[in-house]
Amino acid sequence: MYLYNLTLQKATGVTHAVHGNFSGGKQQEVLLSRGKSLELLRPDSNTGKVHTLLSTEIFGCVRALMAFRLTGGTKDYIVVGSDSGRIVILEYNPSKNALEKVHQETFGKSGCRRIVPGQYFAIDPKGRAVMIGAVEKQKLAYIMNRDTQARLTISSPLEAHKSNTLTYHMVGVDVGFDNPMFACLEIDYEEADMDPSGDAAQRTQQTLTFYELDLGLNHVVRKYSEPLEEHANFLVSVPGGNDGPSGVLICSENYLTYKNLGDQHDIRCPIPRRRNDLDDPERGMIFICSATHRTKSMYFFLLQTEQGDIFKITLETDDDVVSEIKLKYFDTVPPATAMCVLKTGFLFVASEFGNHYLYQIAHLGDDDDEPEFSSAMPLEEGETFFFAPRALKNLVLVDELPSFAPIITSQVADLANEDTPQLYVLCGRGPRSTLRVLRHGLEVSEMAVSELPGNPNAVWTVKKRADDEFDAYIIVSFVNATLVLSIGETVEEVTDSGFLGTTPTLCCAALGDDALVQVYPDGIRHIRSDKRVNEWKAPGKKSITKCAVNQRQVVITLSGRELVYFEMDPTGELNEYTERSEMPAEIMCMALGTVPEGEQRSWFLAVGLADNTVRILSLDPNNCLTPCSMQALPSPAESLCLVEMGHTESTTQGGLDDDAPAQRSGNNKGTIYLNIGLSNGVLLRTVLDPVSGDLADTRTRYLGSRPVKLFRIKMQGSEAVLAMSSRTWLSYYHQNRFHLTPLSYETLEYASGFSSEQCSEGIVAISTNTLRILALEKLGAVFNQVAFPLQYTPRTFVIHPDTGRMLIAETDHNAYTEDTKSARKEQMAEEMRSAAGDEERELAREMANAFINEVLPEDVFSSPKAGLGLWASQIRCLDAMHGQTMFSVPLTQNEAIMSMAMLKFSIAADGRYYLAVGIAKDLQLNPRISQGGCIDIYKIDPTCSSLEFMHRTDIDEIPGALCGFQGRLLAGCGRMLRIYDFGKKKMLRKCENKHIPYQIVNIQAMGHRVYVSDVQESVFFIRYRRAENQLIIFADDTHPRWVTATTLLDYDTIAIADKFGNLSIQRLPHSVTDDVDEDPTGTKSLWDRGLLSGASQKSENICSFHVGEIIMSLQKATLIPGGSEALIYATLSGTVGAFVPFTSREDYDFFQHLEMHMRNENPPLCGRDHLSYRSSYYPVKNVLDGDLCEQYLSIEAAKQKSIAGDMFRTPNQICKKLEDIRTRYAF
Amino acid sequence: MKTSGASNTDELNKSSHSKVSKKSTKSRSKSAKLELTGKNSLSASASSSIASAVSGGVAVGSLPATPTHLNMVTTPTTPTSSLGNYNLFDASFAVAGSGGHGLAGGIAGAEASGNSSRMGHQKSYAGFDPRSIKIFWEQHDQTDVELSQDVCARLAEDASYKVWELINNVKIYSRHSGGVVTYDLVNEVLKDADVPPMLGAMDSDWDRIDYDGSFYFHSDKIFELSAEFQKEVNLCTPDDADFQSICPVEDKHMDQLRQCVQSLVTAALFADSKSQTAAVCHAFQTPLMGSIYRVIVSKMVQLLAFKQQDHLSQRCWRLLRACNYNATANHNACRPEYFNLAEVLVSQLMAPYETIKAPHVDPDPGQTTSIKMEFEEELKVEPDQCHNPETQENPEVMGVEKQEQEPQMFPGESTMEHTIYKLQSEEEELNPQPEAEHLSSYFACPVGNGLVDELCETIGQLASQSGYLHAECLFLIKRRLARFFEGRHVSSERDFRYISRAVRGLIALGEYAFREFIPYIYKLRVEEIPDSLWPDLAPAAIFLGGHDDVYLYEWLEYGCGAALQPFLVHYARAYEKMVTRRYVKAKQPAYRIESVPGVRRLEWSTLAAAMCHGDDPSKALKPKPTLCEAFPDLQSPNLQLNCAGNIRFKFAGCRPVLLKPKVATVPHSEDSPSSAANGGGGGGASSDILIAKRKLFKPLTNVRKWSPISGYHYLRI
Repeated sequence: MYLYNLTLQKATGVTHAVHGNFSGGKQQEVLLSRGKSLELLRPDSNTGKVHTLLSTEIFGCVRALMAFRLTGGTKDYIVVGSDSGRIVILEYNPSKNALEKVHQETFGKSGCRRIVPGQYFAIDPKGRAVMIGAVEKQKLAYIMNRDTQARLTISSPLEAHKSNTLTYHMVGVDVGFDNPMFACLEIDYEEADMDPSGDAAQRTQQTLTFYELDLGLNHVVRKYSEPLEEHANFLVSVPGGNDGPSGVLICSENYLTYKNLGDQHDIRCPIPRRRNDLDDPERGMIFICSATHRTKSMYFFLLQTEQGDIFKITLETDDDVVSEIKLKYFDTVPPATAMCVLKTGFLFVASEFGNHYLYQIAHLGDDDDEPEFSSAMPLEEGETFFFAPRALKNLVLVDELPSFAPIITSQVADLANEDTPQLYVLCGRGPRSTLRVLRHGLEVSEMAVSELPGNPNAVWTVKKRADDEFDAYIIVSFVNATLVLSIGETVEEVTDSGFLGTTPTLCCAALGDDALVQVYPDGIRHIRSDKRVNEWKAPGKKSITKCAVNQRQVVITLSGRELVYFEMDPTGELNEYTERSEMPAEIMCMALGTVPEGEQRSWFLAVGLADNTVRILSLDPNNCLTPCSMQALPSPAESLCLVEMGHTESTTQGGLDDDAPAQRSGNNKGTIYLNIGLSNGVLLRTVLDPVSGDLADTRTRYLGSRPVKLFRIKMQGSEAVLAMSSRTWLSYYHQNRFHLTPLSYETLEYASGFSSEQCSEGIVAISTNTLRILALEKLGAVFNQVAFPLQYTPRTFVIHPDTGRMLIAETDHNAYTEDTKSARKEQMAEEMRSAAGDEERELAREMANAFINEVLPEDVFSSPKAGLGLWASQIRCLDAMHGQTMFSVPLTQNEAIMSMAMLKFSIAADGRYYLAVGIAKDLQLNPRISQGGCIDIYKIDPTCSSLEFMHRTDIDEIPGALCGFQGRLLAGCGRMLRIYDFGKKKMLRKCENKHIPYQIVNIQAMGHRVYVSDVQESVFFIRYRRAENQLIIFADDTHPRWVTATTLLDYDTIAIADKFGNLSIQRLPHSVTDDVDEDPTGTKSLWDRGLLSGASQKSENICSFHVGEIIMSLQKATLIPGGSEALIYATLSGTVGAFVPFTSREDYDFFQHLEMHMRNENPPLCGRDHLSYRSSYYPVKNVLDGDLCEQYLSIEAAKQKSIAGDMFRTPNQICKKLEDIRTRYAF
Repeated sequence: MKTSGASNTDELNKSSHSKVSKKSTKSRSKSAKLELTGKNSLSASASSSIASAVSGGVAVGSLPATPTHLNMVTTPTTPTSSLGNYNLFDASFAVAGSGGHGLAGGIAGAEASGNSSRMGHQKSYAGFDPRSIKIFWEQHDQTDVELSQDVCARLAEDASYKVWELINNVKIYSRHSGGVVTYDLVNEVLKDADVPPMLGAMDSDWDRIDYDGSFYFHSDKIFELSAEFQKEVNLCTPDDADFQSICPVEDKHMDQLRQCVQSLVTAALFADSKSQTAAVCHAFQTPLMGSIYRVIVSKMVQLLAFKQQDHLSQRCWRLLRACNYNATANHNACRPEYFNLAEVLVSQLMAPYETIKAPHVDPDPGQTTSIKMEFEEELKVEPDQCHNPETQENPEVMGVEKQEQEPQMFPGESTMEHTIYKLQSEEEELNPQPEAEHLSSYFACPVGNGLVDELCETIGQLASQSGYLHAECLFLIKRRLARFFEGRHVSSERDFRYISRAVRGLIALGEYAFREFIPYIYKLRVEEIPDSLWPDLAPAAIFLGGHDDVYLYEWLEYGCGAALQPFLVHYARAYEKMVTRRYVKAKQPAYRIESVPGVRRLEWSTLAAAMCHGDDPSKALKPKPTLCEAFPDLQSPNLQLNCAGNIRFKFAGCRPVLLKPKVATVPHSEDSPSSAANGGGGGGASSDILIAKRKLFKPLTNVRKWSPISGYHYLRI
């Protein structure tokens, strides 16, 4: 078995986010690390939408990410710490839209090792040096400078190692232009290590250590170290030099402390708590992330607590000595891994879990009546500040970036009966959890919809002048009339546009600089800007049937076959070409390309004929309307569209630079593609040679059951094709790749681009009798999603086969159930009332009532943290089509659902589905202690509208996995595998196997075989011998694997994902027999047991691959109708991908070679060797990395060519191959 | 300086008379030092003090510039006017204090003239006084043999020389050690001089070394002699010579001036309020003031001293203030008058020095012990104690006073005989002379509490015009305070009232004067300070300045609490910082942190902020940066762009379709600010309620607790 790894949806979780002027312009970008890929975002300050400029796989694990700028520079560089054992400095090249490696310095072994630097970065704020640190011992400092050509240089590393030291965090201290200084949170464990009694370990204090890089001596000294009273979790550097007092803010449990070298005393301020919080009062408050905003004149910090509350921190200084820390509650947003404050006033919040947000900072929070806390406020001993969280006041939500991370589990199914299956994904954590239904397709926003007086045939938009920014008219053609609507604040009907309203329109367009043209069956109407109208009448009884128009040319067919060509002369007159041309068959469709900038005309006319051909005619005045080339088609062409595509869109995006047009004309010559929509629903895309008119390199794609109509529109500044069949598709070029994506929208009939003040880039379309204005925002997204909120972290779900409803098990640790919550609230309210004195009694009562009635939405404000060992669970039945919760079954406090299965019991003989729920009681995670568990059985009614509780079976262990098996229930209770049968009062234990070493986490069953996964010992193959009622392990794996997900590929083959990010496929060799006996006497086991008590037979590893993210679900499924099955996986970081099998050795060879060339020619960006990365844990075997192969599309043309040459192919062929394998299985 | 145990021997300083006379040019502070060294030098017997008094008299007599008491004030610039002055002085009022009081005059003369005469005298070294020899003798003598004065004098010279020689040797020896003088070195010198090293000279503790047992040794101490050589010594003379100029008066106008003074004083003191006002106005602006100021002042001194009636005092003060206001008043050099005036005013404020008694000092036979400023007792005590020296020395002056002044001025007074006597303790009896030399013989009884403010105003006004008077008043107040606080536990209400008067007086004298009170601050127990003292102490806050004032501030803050607040507005920020720093400095380990205390502020309104920082409220408020300042590139995105529903159709047959709200599918739509406020819950009111305080598990700090003094912290319920 050979597999090809294909990423369908890149990881959506964010591990790091930094901002800076990476492109060197005025605009700031945000660079995200998504674990193993880097993504560059640019918030559009006009619309507030976040656009992705670039997303690159780096084939390594990003451990640290920083932006820095050399002194006096205008451009930020990116320095990446990864598992490569190298420090890599990247620069964004906006013209190529690529990240380029500026420096790559090796300092250690690869891998995420504790003493190899790469985990922490600290940058001197003046950009003179960078320190890279390991978790333990090692720290290296590199001096940055620039050479005479102003290129960035990097010095050899300076060591700042200290053994027996663990590092927690490091930052560059802003010391202006003094020697660069770095502050580290460290622990020296030497003493603790030597002391067997453990006392020293108790005493060991974290220290704040300052390292100074002496630029004169070229040497790093450990300048100062000071023990900290509390354990700190991170540092924030305070602006220094001329901009501030320098120093660091230390975020530790319950306190925020300011420290600096020199005479500065420490300033400490407690972290405020929420008023009347239901949280465990003993729980410490910590800040989890920070953002610093600094300008020349001021600076502030935004620090976020675990609960998501952001505080604005300002420092009061007195001659550069900080005298006071001031905290002010700012707003509450989801807890973040990183926050970036941009100069344009945006706050980008990369959430820990769930969607990421872009906010506009609307207020600085200075004028409200929120109290400002200060370190100078004297508190009673042990007290802290309190505040009341509230809805957003200072921030305005501007945009949302969907994120699936963490994906807990997923399933591919077509519950909606849409032909194309949907992906049902359980995402998120706690109250921000969701069930998301992913569909392949672009999300469409409806801007406006209106019914029309009749059923229109076609719609166009035209500009009044060629250089207008926005369209002026919408022209809607009906059977016998044309409606002209002018676009302004409202879309109104106009009659003075010059268009003829009493006839249907075949086509209309802007002509030349300021004229309009309307082609209707009886003629052509040329409307000049001064409202003079020139009419060209169709001769005799002939009428115009088809036409094609661009800015300067008009081609019409008269009575089916005759072609008449018009071209605009320099005076703006439309002149007919003297010769008319007769086509051999009836003309079905025609297309003209746009007139290239600086040229007189488009040189080719594409004509689709009824004889199943497409011909390219030359429009060269010398040989006008002579055929250049011809392509035969499987069925008649319905529609043609000539577009120029393929240049990077980043440079053409609005708002970059003033010289953007120059760039565009300079180096962005795209390829001309002829898109052919066939009447059988197939779209062909062929490359048109711009000189000879030859057609080559045809790609085919089935779009739908109806003939394909094609429309040229603008998307992100470049041309794109809207293809309409039974579904509407958009073919566009985005981030160096062609995308052909369906719109998740109803069937459309005709469309045109639309641009107005309200919607700069939209589509106007008609569908039956409605006119619609649509916008597509999330270009590049593969899936569009519908999300339904859940209450607790979802753990697993099953789909009721009859109704398609989903039963979701939700369980949260450290949470209250609703009952406990209200009881606790009541209790607190009671305390309030009783604590009040006589005169305050009335007030206290009011407050208590207000408190009880107060409802803070937990998805915004987080749920209260109840304390360790407190669990809340419920079973929810959800109609995934409408997102309706049918019912939910809450469990009592401290019952945690660990597993769930839906099955039929043969003994019940009622044909009904039962839901078995494995519950742990009073589970404590670390150390893992529980009060045992139980299995609850519910009977599901046929419509899945209620659950009937049958009984509860108490067991000693935690039921970690459940599975229906031959009409009975297989349960993994701790390390015991048992078969239970359905009883009247409880489940009846029928059979047991105790040979699983640690803990059963997954059970699959097929036929008589059971495949049981141990938490750390991979999969055991078990045969159930009915006759003997025995479960016998007959084979197991040779490697330990910490299993997270498995799926059966066939009776002998199982795919296993582990928690280190590996996928492996285990297959039982042919020689393995499952007909083994288990010897009750034990004698046989003495000599027939394998090594270390393993099974005597072993499975064979046929594939292994390091995905780099923890796979949470595996499923064999098809994603596109009529496609082949692939192994679909979803990872914790939000990636959705597929392993697709090669069907031919030839393909495998091809991609193997391509992969090999790519490894050589395009080594990963962060310095990790690709082969070593994919073999991080087990040597990669039989899996090719499609992500690497697809980078072929984005490398330089010269390299493409050389690789293609080495493989005896053309770049286009390789691209086609890449596209093919993707479209065969997915999208 | 040692002060303990000095209460008995307080006045003995005056006994070292000859020395005092030599050094009479030196400052008050010098003499204060002297009085203390004198105290220590011997517990004098009566005879010795008398002897010294005699020699003192000789010394005074030997001064060349003071042949008669009339000449006692030198008038270097304008001899004519000096004459005129004296004529005017003597003829009309014949004031006892200035004209007739020989002692005081002697001192004043010495002060005036001595400056120049002493300047060139350099080589003199301080030798042992023969008296010292005598004392030495007496200390060793068991046989009652009287050592003659002559022998003492010789011995004194020899002893001085011997000591001088030893010191010189020490100096020479120390050259070898680079100017470093050690005990050993001194011992060496002594040994070479055949003097055995002094026993017990090294009183330091033994240092110990633990090496094969314990050994004890002396580690030598080092004096850096070179540093001593190089030390700059400043001779400070607090009352620098005033710029003196006296308005010349021609003889022919003398009578008129005399008349003028007469009527002015009469009108100001005895006439009805209308005339008084007119007189005061006249005094305020008359150009003649330059000529008559001294006369008026001396007149006032007498009146204040002898006519101890509150209403009269008030009038006197008023007149004094008015005169003092007059620009030409400053043309006078009237130190002698001021000298007395200071004593009188301070006595009015804080009672005569002698009446101040520490309660628990061994009771003196002739005086009631516990009371310090009881008028009645003063009166009782005074006559028998102190009239001797007065009458001895200046009988005729006294007579003139009594006969000429009193009947004129105080026709109805019958108690005048009491008031002319000076209050003296029994020590003064023993040694009246030296005291008289640098202390005025005038005194007055303290005025009622209600008049203190006006009195302070007067003192302040006068002191602000004359540095001399200022220094004099300050000295007198300090003296009284020193005596008052000596061994006293301040507890009674009366004590506090007294302190209040002192403080008010000091405050009237200004910032530096007030600082003299600081040492006594620590003798007060904060918790015992009555509220009534607050208003008096609190104005001292306006003197707070700079970082050195931490202690003063701290104390004031302790003592006055909120009462201090109004006076701190000018300094609110500065003090906040200062307190912050001071407080933080007090903390030892770096990682022990606690909240920094703030200074209590007034209502923090814009107005108050403006008040705190002068006229520039922007500076005061340190305005928070606006959004545009914080984000120079700020662009507010047009959120309406690409939003559903903002394109509307308007044409025949159009029927806009209501769009499905997109937000339905988007969670967290509640985030949008437009949605109803869901945070805070329970309406806006509850957001201001703070209840259910919860303790953190650890106290905020392990450093000592700092009491809250900030006004930030308030609950809003």
